[in-house]
This record gives sequence, C-alpha cells and structure tokens, in this order.
Amino acid sequence: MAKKAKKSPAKSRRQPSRKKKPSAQRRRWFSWSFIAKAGLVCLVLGAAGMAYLDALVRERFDSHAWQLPARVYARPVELYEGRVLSREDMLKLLDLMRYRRDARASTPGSFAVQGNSLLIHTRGFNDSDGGEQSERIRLSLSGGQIRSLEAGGDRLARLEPLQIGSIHPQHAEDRVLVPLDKVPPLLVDMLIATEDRSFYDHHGISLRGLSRAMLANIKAGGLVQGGSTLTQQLVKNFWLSSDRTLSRKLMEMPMALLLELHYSKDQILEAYLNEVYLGQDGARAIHGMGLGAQFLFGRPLEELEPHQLATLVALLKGPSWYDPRRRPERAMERRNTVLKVARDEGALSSADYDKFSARPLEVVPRGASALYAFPAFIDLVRRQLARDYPPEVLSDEGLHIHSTLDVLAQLASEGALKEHLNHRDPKQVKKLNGAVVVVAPAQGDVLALVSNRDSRQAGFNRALDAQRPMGSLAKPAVVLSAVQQPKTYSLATLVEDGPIQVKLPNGSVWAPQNFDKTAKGAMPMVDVLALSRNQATARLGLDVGLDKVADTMKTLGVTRNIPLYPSILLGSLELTPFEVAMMYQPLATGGFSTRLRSITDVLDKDGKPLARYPVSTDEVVEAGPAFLTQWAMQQVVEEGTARAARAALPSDLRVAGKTGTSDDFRDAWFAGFSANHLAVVWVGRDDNKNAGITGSSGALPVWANLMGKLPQRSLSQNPPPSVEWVWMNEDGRRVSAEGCGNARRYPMLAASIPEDSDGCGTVKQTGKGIKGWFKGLFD
Amino acid sequence: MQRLVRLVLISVVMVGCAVKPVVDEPQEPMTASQELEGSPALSLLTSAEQARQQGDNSRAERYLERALNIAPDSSWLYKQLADLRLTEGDARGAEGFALKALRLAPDHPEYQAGLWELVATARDRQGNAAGAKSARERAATLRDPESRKA
Repeated sequence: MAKKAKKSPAKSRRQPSRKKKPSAQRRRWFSWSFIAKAGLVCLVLGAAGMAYLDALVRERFDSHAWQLPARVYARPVELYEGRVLSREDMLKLLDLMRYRRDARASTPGSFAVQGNSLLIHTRGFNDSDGGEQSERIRLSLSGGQIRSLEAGGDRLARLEPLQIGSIHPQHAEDRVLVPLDKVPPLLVDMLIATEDRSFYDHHGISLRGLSRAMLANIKAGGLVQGGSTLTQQLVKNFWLSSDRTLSRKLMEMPMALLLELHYSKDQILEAYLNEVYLGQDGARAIHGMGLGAQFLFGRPLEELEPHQLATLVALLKGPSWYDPRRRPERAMERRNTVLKVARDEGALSSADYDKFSARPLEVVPRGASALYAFPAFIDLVRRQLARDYPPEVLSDEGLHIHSTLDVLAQLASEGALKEHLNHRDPKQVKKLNGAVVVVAPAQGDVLALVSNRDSRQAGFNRALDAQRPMGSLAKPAVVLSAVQQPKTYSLATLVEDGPIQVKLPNGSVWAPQNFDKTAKGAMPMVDVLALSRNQATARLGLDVGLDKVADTMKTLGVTRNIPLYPSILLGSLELTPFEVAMMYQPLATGGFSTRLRSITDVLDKDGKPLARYPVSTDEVVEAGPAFLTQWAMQQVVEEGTARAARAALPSDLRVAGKTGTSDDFRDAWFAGFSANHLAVVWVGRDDNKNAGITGSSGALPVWANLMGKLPQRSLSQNPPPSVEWVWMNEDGRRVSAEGCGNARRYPMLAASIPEDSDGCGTVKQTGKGIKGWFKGLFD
Repeated sequence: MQRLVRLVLISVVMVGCAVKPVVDEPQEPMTASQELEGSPALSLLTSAEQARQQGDNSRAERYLERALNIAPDSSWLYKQLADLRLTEGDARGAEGFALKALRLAPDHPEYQAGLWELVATARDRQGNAAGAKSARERAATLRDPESRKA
C-alpha cells in the first residue's frame, strides 16, 4: 500500500505546486481500506440489486402479467336434425376451423367423410351455458338439410366457435395461453434437446452448455448455438429489452439464478413456452407456442403433428431468419435438424423421423386465417365493448368474447358485394364501393358486416360510419304512419301521383320529381310504395303530417335529429347502413324493436362467464299496422321496383323490402328481409359523386344474391286478429268481391273497411258479413 | 233431379247436426310440447328449466336464446323468457317478451289470459297502472266465456 502510494508523487511532475498534499489524496484512492470499503459498498449495492431483481422476478412471475388480448369468437355452429345446411357449407365450415381429415376422426379437430354422413370429432369449448365437451358426432346431410344427428344420446351438438380476431391496442403482444399439461410432450422433448440439454440439471446457468456452445461455434466457424439456458432465454424474453447491452447481459445471469431458486422447472418451462417470441404479424407480436401454432398452422397446439411442432422449435433460433412463409428452404432445413436431434435423443422413432422429415411445411397462407378476416365486424365488437370495459382489461385480461357473427352469412355477404362490384366496375373506374349489414331480426343479432368490396381491408367502416341520404328507404315509414290512422287510410286508398309544389319557410319551392319524370295519376297506396312514386309519397306524407312521419321514424329506431322538411319523406335524412338496419328491424318483426347486438357473452380467460348481453324486445308498432306495412313491402318484391330479386330466390319464398336511390345516383340502397334475415346493402362512392346506379341496379342484386345463399323462412301470411282480407273496389272506397272488375284483395284493419259496397258479388264481406255469420254458426 | 234434391236435403241435415251447442269445455292446459314436440329446442328448454331451478338465470337465458334460434315462432319460449326477466327484476324486458309471446300464441284463451296477467304484473312494476288495468281486463275477457261469444 505504501509502496504504491510512494510512486505516484514521482510520476506527477505536472502536478501544480500550489496543490497541497497531493500524495495523501492519491494514497487514499488506492488504499486497501478504500478498496475494502468500496467492496463493502459494492456488496451492499449488489445485495440491494439482487433484492431488487429478486422482487422484480417474483412480482412479474407471480402475477403472470402476460398481456392477453380479448379474443373474439363467431357464434358456435349449432347442429340439429332439420337444420338447413348444405353439405358444401358444412365442409366449408370444417375447413375454416381447420378440421383435419382422418379416417377414424380419432382426435379432436378431425373428421371423416363416410358416404352421405360425416363423422366429426368436435373440439369442445366453454360458454355461459356450460359449453360443450369434445365428442364424436355422426351427421348425415342430404337435400340441403341435416337428416340425422347422433351425438352421445343427444340430438343437438355444437362446433366450437371460430376465433375471428382479438382486441388489442397497436403494437401489442398477443398470445394463446397453453398450460403445460396441454403442451404435447414431444414439443418439450424437442425444445430441451435442441435448446438446453441440461435444463433439468442446471440452476439457471450452465457452464457446460456455454462451453459446449462455444466449442460447437468454433468447430462450425460461426454462431450455431447460443450458450443461454432456457431459463436465461426466458429472462431475456420476460424482463429485459432485446438490445444487447452489457448491463443487460450482467442482469441476465443473476436473474436466471433467482428464477431457478424460486420456481420449479415446470413453472419455468410453462412460462417459457407461453412467452417466447415467435415472429411478427404486422403490428402484432406473436408470443408463445399456442399463438404460434394458430399463426402458422391455424390449429390449436395440441393438434399439431411432429413436423409442425419441429417448425415451431426451429423458429426459436431466429423467428424472422427461419420464417417458414418467407424463407421456406431455411425453415425446412432447420426443422429437419430439430427432427434429427429429437431422433438422436430418442424422442422420436427412426420411422417417425423418416415419415415427418419428408412432409412439407404445411404452413397456412397468411390470409387464410380467419383471424382478422372480418375487420369491419371486429370494429363493431370493439366499439360495443369499449362502452363497458376499459382498454387495459381488453388488452390484458384474456377475455373471451362470444359474438353473433355467422361465418356463412358473412362469407355470403362479402362474396355477393365483391362479385357484383367487380362485375359492374371491374377496373374500379367508377370507384364503387359498398357495405352490407345482415341481422337476425327477432333477436337483433348482427350476423354479418361488410364495409369494403375488399373485405379483408380494415379502414373506413362504411357500414358503421358512411352517412348517406336514405332515399326511398324512408317510404315505408310514410306508409306505416298512414295505416296507423285506419279511419282515414288503408293500403287501397288512392293517392294522386302528379306534380306537387310546397312553399318552404325560406321562400323556395320544393317540387319533387318522379324517377321516370312522369306522373301516373291516382293509384292505391300499396302501388305508391311498390313502384316507389315520389310525388304520390310526398302528397301522402304531407297529408298524414310530417311530424307523424318523423315520429314513426323515431319509433322505428332512428336516433338522429329529424328536421321537419318535406324532403324527409323522400329520404333526405342521412343514415349509415347500420342505422338503416336498426330502422328496418321492427318492420321485419311485425313491430318489435330489438337492440342490435354483436356480442352475446363475455367469459374470463378460464372460460368462466362474466357478463351477458341478453336479447330484449319492445312492442313499438301494433300488430295490424305492422302487418299491413310488411305486406305492402312484399309487393315491392312481388310486382314493384325489386321484382328482379325474384329470379334469385325460391318462388315460394315471401320476402319484403325497399329500394332506395339518392339524388344524382349517388347512393344505391336495398333494405329487405325474410322472416329470419334482414339485410341492408349500400353501394356508392367514397367521394360522394354520381355513381350511376340505382337501388334496383346497384344494391338489389347484391341483396338477392346473398339472401339466396342463406337458409330463409317466408314472412307469415297469416294476418293478426285485427286484420282481415277484403276485396276492394279500385276506387279504394267501397267493398267489392272476387272477380269483380278490377277489385283487389287487401289486408285491412277493421276501422278501414268501408260500409259501402259496389254491389258487385252477392254478399258484403266484412267481419260481420257472411264469413262472420258462418263462423258464429259453427263456433 | 230427385236424387240431387235428396242429396241436398241430406247435406243440409248433416250441416244442421254439425252445429254444436255452446258448452264450456275446459281446455287442456297449454304445455311446451304442444309447440315444441319433436323439436331439438325441447331439450334446450329442459336444460333452461334445470338451470333456473339451480338459480342460474343467465345460463337459463342462454339456453332459451339458443332454443329460439331453432324454434323462432314458439310463443312458449318467449313466455319463459318473460318469466325469467320478471324474476330478475327486469319488468320492461318481461313485458316485451310477454307481448311477443302473445303475438305468437296459439288459440288458447287460458294461456293467453295468463300472458296478459304477466303483462299486467310487468306494467305494474314499471308504475304503469293504467296499462296494467287494461291488460287485466283482456285477461278477464279471455277467461269469461260469455264475453268471448259476444
């Protein structure tokens, strides 16, 4: 100590002389006692550091604070005898859900075709009603129907809901948690054989592994093996950023030791398998083997075969370097190396090695995954969830969201819109785009939502956000307002279709034109709607009262402010396609308003029910007027502006709807329904220019096409007790009889049935007439 | 010609015999199977009833919603939903479902009267005394055979 201290003054020749006792200072710096003290400080700091790291390790590990984004599922596929389902659609569903063909359907997620019947081994799932166990079911399909179903004594079965997306903020992690007992043992064997052979023997750091890696690297003349144990790799993935700094390296080893001190090998392995980074899907980081399996193979990890498991293990060496989609040769070579190591370590038999190393990679194409395939619908779910859950719950807590999406309805809608627009506007010259909303009217379930002709594209959600004038879609509200005053109006009431002028408060004059620029004179109200006559509708609406029509629109579910301008009668009010669906929903159900929902249930990450979004319904229109309006809307399809749809639909199917076209052919609409599907189609341009289309030419074909692809039930032709069928004289004011002149048969509310008869036929046929007399006799 | 007259006469006599005197025959009580016999929805209804007995109303509700997907025109299923809502304290929801059940109800006065009473209870609980009264009147009318004939 003294010797060292003595040397320093001699060397410090340039030391300024006015500094006193320089040597004493130097001596203090290098004194043993200083080193001892410094050592002590380091020890204390080190101990504090270790304590800190220890807390860090335990806190993060114990809380299992993995970011688990909420997952969104389609509605489970319900299978039962009598369900309308074509064999083709059934196979399409199985394909989407990545069921494997297997002659005996021996494992969950597989199926076999046996003549007319299908043997399906379902996967099982949780639901708020308890869900379903995995089971083998036999299903026979013919004539577009499920003819028989054998499922463990029950006549009902469900396929698990298809995952259609997840809700997470930008640049979020995503994963599918897999508990260790669900991880295929072969995956663990391969992992340990290739990444960390002494995993079960070391305490977090393996000097033997390190030296073996170095040796291997020297032999190979490059980096072929990292010396990090799985524990160290987990530390890297879990706690440390990926930049290779020294401080990071220094923290890695003590943290690995601490981890091993506190946790079992199994716990560490499970964390590793669920944490490890496996690649990138746009902004989404793929973490863990569970999501990796879905991302690459579209299947649950449990269902992967050895060569697929090996591909996942191969990725660990470098997720982008060995990306099987972009670097298939490299990935294949590495995969086979993993298989070989597994064989050499005895985890795989020689025969299996030969078999599986000859298999192709079998990675699903990126776009083929149902995940993120329905961005418009997921957007709707996200908006609905955002009202009830804070963002961090959605991005972190692994909620399972059961949605109302019907995959077949969604695919039919996408296909119909795309097909039609590609046909009308093949090179996007007119830049036509569109949106489709399909709803199950009785329960308000949103079955499909399309917001772009290229439906895989996220972005502007036309179905939810494109506000456009609804045009003639407003007319059923005018008719409904009229028939709600049955003493004054019935569907037979004549309305003059001719020029009409209304002076507005601002001095200008409103003078609507008919689409064909002609006037057809007096016609029954039902024809006014069926033929979509503007001048007659305007006259009727003004007669009924603008305020009444506006009230009707609100009753039907329009929530926007409705200005009392006459132009609202012809649809100047701007609505989104989704809002149109809301407005038409009560028309489709005979007067029951049901809030549209995209979510049915929310479950926590373990499948325990958290919340329900139940159906709820209110009677907003009485049975009689609702039936009359629906019947009038059926005439639109039977003989009006939507006749063209008949060709695409079964001849005995009764549907109703309304075409809509806005000024200058900017917007083409069709909104229509059967008893079980309500679909709204909008076609137009984003820049709101003339699109050169009408409701009949631009939107109706899409509607007819998609409705034709879905199982439909006819609208009921049985009137409610308050309505009778009556033959009416063409003057709309007198009762007539079948076969008399131009008499037509109408559904009429009692208060509308005139006392007067035109004298044709023998008996005045009202409720108190001959029919009633006979009824009284036999009752 | 004579033969024709005879035939007409026989027919008239037969029609006369077919005219039933008005008697009050008690109707069989309405049951689920009247609507759902043979439908797979029946087993979901049974599951819903079991869930309700176990006090698990939201599970019951899910079963009923599934059943309605299979049998959408079943008045009985809507009635079960209305009952369920009433026990859960959602009187407005109960009223909506009961009215829907009435819309789909078969020609069964006692069953319909029961539904109107359900509507009345639901309206009472929402503070709609006038609406409840008119619903009770409808129930009473349905139960009173004399007023039915009128």
